Amino acid sequence: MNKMNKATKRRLIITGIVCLVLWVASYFIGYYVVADLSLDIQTGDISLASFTDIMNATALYVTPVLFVLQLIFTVIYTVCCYAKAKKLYASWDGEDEDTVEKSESLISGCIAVLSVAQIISMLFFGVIVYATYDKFMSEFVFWAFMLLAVLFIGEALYITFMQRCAVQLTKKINPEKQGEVLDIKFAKDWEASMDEAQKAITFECGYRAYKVCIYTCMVLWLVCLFGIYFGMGIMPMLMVSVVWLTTTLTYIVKSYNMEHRKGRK
Amino acid sequence: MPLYNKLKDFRARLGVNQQEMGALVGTSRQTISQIERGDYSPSVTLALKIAKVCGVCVEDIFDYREED
Repeated sequence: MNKMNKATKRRLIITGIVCLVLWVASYFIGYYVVADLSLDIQTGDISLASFTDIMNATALYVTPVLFVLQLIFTVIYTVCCYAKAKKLYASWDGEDEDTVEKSESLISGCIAVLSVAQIISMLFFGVIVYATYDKFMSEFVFWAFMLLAVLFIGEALYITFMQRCAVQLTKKINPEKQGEVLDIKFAKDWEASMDEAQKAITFECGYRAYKVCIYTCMVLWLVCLFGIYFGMGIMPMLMVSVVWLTTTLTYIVKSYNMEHRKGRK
Repeated sequence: MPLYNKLKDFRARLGVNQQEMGALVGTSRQTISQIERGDYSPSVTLALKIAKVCGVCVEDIFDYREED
């Protein structure tokens, strides 16, 4: 009974949060659309073009700040994690499980932040390119863009360097692990050096990621469908469909081959 | 998980740490640690390898008990 109550409470809280998020999102979208429509009604031309302008202005002024903030956070967090992991490993006597597990947990945290930062920085940089590409006549915008481009390349190099450091430390802790981050065959070598337990974890995580990816594609498809009314065109929908198709076909082909003993290890 | 084991005791008898035990049975230190904690049930092959290295039967190390 208690469990049921707890589960119901949890569901209610989640539903409440979802409603709150949707309410806030609806407020802002509705505000911009209505503001835009009223403006256009005055001129007699009903269109939603200025909604895109508002988004562009937000992208132009907010994204560079967010980009720099995420860069600072990534560098500070990963350097701290790596330094602490290295220190713990140096103090490890080869027996104490807690020490080595803490060290490995910090390395995992470091790699997770680097992976997320890579995607976030690419997204932000893309938004910055979108917001500035037709404003290069302004000297300020041009030099600001050049600075952000240098920071973007710098962050990409830093992420590769830090990922290599984290992998090297993991290899020191677990000497059976193989693979060099800078090598194009890294993923293959790393997978080949995994044992059965690590493969089980990796493949389960891969399946969860596949399921989440499929749900995300469904939601994005809906967003793209509504986006057509906001002048997004069909390109976003095409991109979502490519990701959706690639993921689904890869899964279907691999599972078919494995069920029929083709390429099964 | 209803699979219990005495791997830690047998490893202590052999006088090896998890890293060395892993090397003896061809697996990683992390997997040995997960088996000892009961977080991972090894495959039949790995269980047989562990038993062989310890010089006992699989049932001496691993014990399956139905949960209530």
